Amino acid sequence: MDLFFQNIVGGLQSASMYGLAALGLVLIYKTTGVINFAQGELGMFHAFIAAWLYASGIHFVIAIFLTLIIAGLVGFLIEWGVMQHAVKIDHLGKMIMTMGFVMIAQGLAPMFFGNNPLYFPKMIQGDPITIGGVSILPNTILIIVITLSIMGGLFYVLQRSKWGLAIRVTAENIQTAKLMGVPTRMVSMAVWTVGTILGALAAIMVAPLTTVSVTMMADIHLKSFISAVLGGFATFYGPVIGAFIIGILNNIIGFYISSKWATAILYIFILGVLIFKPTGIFGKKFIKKV
Amino acid sequence: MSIRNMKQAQYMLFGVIAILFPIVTSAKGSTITLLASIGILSIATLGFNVLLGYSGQISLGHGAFMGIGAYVSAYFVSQLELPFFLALALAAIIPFFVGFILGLIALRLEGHYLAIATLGLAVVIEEIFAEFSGFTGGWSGTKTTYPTIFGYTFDKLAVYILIITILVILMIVTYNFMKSSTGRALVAMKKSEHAAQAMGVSLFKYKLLAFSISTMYAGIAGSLYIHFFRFAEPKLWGIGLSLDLLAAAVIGGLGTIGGAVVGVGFLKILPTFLQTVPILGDIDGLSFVLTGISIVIFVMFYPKGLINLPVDIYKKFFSKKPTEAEEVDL
Amino acid sequence: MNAVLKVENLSISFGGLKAVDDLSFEIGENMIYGLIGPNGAGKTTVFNCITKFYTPNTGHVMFRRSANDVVDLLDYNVHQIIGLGLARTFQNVELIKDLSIIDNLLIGAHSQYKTSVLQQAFLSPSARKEEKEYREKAMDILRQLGLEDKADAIAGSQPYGVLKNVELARTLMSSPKLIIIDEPAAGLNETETEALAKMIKHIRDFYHCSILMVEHDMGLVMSTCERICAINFGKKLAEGTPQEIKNNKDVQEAYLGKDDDDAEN
Repeated sequence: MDLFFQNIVGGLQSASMYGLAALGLVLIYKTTGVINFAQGELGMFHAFIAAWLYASGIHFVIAIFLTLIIAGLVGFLIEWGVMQHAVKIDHLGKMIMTMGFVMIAQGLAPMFFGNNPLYFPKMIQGDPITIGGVSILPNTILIIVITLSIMGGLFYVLQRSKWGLAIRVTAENIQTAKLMGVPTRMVSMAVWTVGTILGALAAIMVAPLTTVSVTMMADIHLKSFISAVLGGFATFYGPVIGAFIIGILNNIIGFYISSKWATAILYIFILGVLIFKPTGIFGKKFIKKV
Repeated sequence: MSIRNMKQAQYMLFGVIAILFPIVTSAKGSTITLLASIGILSIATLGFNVLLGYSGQISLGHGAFMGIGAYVSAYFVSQLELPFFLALALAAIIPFFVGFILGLIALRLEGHYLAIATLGLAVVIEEIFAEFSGFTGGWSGTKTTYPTIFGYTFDKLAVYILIITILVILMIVTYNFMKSSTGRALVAMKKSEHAAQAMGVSLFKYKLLAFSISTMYAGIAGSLYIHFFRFAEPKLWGIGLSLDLLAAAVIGGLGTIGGAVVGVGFLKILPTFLQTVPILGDIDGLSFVLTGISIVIFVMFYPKGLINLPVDIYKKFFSKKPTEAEEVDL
Repeated sequence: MNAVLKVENLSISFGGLKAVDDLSFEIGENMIYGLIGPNGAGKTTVFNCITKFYTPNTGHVMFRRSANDVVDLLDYNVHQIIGLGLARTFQNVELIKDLSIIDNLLIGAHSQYKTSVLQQAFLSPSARKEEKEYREKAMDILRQLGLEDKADAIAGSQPYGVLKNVELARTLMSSPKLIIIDEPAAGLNETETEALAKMIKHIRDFYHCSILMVEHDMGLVMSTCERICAINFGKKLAEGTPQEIKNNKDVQEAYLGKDDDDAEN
């Protein structure tokens, strides 16, 4: 039974990373209609920056903060420098553009940082502590706490602040938002900035577990999408709840069935979801105006 | 001569030139390999273009379908010792059905769901290929031989000629059905789903058709790949290959047939060209970056693609007629 | 009167708002019928319900496909409607801008094509024959409407007035029993509207079909429609001949009063 709870905790850690990435994804999607397929690769690129800063002798906490600032800047620049000029392009074209970003990120990483994986330390070193018969690494607790805090903070901002209102209104209907005088351009810039930071954070969290390499985010990237599909793209909280389900399932399946096949099994699972409840747990069907 | 006959002649002329080129120039083995790669990828991109350029759907999993075609073909030729053309046919049919089933699941919703479902396929397919080692040779890969047709065993150049021949046939066939009611339905579906439905086009049926056709072409390309290179391993068929197809389709010209070849040509020749340039050649990942940037630039500024560049240049500098809205050159 | 379309107790709500409320009306064979109402009355919503772009909550839309074959359109999917014999246009003119005029017409015949992808891919004799037949039909229709010299022009290069006529031409490709037109006079000036009225009457006479017109322009409606149904807030106000509608107090109150000069026409 203890082993089971151990996996739940491990699953919460996985869920944290999927959740951050999935939240970043749906933030950008609901407000701008763009699915940012480059989320994972951008995170990977930022993890490389963090690892490189650390290897250059900078304290890793400062490296993390610097990287998050850079990530925010990158997200901002992508929106301000590129996406903003692509307003006339339809959603399909914008999706394709983000796939272009994937290639750019995949190319820039070895270009700047070489072909070898880099090392990045855990945020808290230390031996596992035992709580209620379950053995947990302090780092794991930190990851879960940080993630829950950030998500809690973001949802608080979304629900309670003026900025959050602006984002929610834009997400609901961008035309109406514009007519109401909501600064939708700034909302776009804000969500791209925040979304990219969330992706970078997810990458930094997984970096100690897998080392920083070009392929480090592939698995998380896919699972963040699976989480969003499960939770549905209609709400902000849907993908996050989806992430927790997928995260826990991931670790349970990984332990009790096979860690090699966990991803494949989750993939089949999501295909099943697409058959029976395609818009996700919290999805809503929209009637398009003719 | 009708337009259709002109187009057929154009594609056949291209084929003849492509075949004669390495013969006439006594090209080295590595050049033939490069040309063959272009031919193989063009076949896959042609199908990908039917999906993306005409029906407006994105797939990130076409590399996986190429892989399925490759392994199917190699297995039937090397393990079961079936005739090559039968193996090729199976390499077309099996991916068609796998695509059909995946499409049934993923195509009922908006486009990004297909992208996600195919992304998943691209990520898990490597492990799946490695696992079915009886069929695929596992991580160490699988080997096969040059095709033997009617008792005559092909050599490298002959396989190349086969590739180009199949490419040209597919170009003509694609042109034919794109210029008929099926093609019009696909275009209508991309441009205006409401109009298409009002005209009797079942969106689901045609999305499914476009997707299955594209996975079929990918399967054919996969079969030709493994019979030219005579070796394949699971690592080849992941998301990198799928992104290459996307880049080639977008850069070459979405919604065109010649664009597939032009786009792949750009994609394949770029790294070769960069290697000859002194400093740039040493930078890893540069061709990735340039390709990615090209995708963004072409989508934003020149969606018609490279294949329309000569026509537009001619019009701008040489033609006296005022420019009207132009039909995209097929 | 042998009805070609009978709308019975049609209702649809969006959220809490009842957009169409228990609406019934009847269109006869070879008849030009008008559905009128002020802005927001629900005309386009009725339109979309009949053509299954929306799914109504209650009601029936009985359609006479042939002498003895009557079906309820609500049993069918949106893309099956045209195959039953009911063709529509769109308020925003949804033609495919990148294709030629004649290709746009050929899309209008899509529901009639019988050859498969495979046959088309390999240019089978039946595929070629079918394409030729429909091309000829398209040219005939263009000739009827005076548009044959524009057959190969790219749709995107043509002016709005031409495109509206092309959309009308496109409906004829499926040999429909009923054509539904969504605000055909929108964006047209008086001369163009008069020409449109002529064309609509010609279509009814030459192609022996009924026409349901959803329209704002009172002049066009009064001069072409044999019967009219007036609605407001999704409910029927009155149904009858143009004269009866003109004289109906409820209708006048609803909006004719605002366009006094139109009521004079």
